[in-house]
Amino acid sequence: MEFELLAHTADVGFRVRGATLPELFENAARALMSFTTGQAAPEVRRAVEVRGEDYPSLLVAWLNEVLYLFDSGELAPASFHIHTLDSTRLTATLEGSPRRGESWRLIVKAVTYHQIEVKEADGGWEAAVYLDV
Amino acid sequence: MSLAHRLEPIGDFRWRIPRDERLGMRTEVVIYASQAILDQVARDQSLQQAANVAALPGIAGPSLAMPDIHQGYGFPIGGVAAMDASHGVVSPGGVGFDINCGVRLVRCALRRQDIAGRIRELTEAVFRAVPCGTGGHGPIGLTASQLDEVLARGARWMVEQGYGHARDVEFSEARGALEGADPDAVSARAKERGRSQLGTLGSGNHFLEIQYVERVEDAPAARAFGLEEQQVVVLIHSGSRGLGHQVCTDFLQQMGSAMKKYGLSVPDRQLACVPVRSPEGQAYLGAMRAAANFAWANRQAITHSLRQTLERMFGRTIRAEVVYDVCHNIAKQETHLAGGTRRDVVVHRKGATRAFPPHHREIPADYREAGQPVFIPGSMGTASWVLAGQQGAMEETFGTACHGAGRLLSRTAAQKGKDYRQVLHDLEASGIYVRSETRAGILEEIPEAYKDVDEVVRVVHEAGLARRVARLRPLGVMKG
Repeated sequence: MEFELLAHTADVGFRVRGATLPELFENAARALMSFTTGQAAPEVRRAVEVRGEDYPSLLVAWLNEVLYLFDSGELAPASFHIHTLDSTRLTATLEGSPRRGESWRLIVKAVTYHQIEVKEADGGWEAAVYLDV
Repeated sequence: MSLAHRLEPIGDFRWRIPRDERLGMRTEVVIYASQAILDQVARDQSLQQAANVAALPGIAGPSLAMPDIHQGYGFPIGGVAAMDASHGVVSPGGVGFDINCGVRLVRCALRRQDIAGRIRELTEAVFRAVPCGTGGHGPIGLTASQLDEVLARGARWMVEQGYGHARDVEFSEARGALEGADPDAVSARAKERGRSQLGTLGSGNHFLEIQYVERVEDAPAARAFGLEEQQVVVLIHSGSRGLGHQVCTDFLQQMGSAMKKYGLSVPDRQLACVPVRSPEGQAYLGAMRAAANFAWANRQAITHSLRQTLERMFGRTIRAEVVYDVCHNIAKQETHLAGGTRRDVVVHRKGATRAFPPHHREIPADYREAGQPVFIPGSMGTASWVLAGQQGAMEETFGTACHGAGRLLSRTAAQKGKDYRQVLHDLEASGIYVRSETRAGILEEIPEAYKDVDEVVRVVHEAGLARRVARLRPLGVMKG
């Protein structure tokens, strides 16, 4: 999975790519989880449904959902599978385990709308996301 | 785009970007800076962000920028905006994700020489007593109803439960709790994220520093604050943890559709806002105040853990007392003179500190002659400052001064080419022991990543917003 870190004076961002929109969203979730330690065992499944007004706000909502599940201790996700995705709604299944030893390497407070971007690029999709840390 | 070429000097340490309707600005931008700081500010998007804030409906007075201004998301960090309380807007992004991020200074009945040779031991002991919270758990478990008490009554409730002294809240902004907090406006998710995090520090730029008073510049004010040269003090920088972050996330998500309802549009989505008087605006303010109270309770819980550690090591005569506690990410309803008339406004302080002048009624009686204490943390290798609010702040900045040194380098740039061991070695060579949960926690916060805190403080001092009282030097640093 490829993503690159983007510089920001106070915070941190990443640019991520995917051949399709679902792949882009899955890769973005993996990029977010790269700020945590280790991988959880895929013991349990968790279905999620997220809504937005357009692709950018849907991406922010999706990543904030993943962030919430990790931060609340409910789930340290090991894998992400997007089932359906249009500009206002996505459904997905996350596999992982309740958070035990996993921790943040750098605590991410939230996913922001700052300069959020979702666009077609090089025959695939690309997004830029900034995190408040 | 940088707006640096539009800056006009308006007297010492003040510059402005005139109102430009083509940019949607409803008012001008005023920035407090020296030439050296201005050169640094022009490098990122912070001036554009300050101009975006000037476009918000109902803004009273200019969009203000403190000398520690740097690029945020939506609002610049170091930004101040007062919105008319009856026809203006409230913006969760103008407060930020870390609601009531703030600093508390604790003074000890110890002199620097008393802890010489024990800095490492003390820092390690504090590190064990105050979790960073990267793993999610703090020392205090709360039931659902206890959490609602924390949200409603902040540090005051903590003190009643035995986590401190009555004096602690007397010497806190808002006496450790904002009125009008609405625990019911805080989502179940926010409560779930925050419940186990009370008493944790957090990571990023949050820290706990053992320091000493290096130099007193204003003897009467220092005396009032109970500070003298060579005295040991502890500076705690933390906020509302996951609870506050989730409150901001929740309301930003809701505000997209609410803005359409009220016919509002903004240049940057992160500036989402609604009318102060709307149900959505009132719900946000109720939830924000509850999160602010959680943050005061959090700094109270950290103070409690700190006191236990100090007493274990140095005995009960340590008398660790709160000098003051100020928040620097908040929106508060206050009455100010704006444009020659008294107006009720909601002052958004995003990385900016309230700095009320001498004789203001919201300052503890002991500090009335000195003015409200303002704490300006510098980077871990340099210095921090104790200031006192001045009349100029009331006249020009809605009673506000700066909040820190202000970042200069991104986290990625700060880490580039730096060796963790070398950084630690260099800091130790200058007498500073650092303990961090992660290597990144140190590398990203290296002194070079920040502006010169002395220069930032010089600007607010010379501009008459807050005057210098004492300079503090770190001895032991704990970081997330």
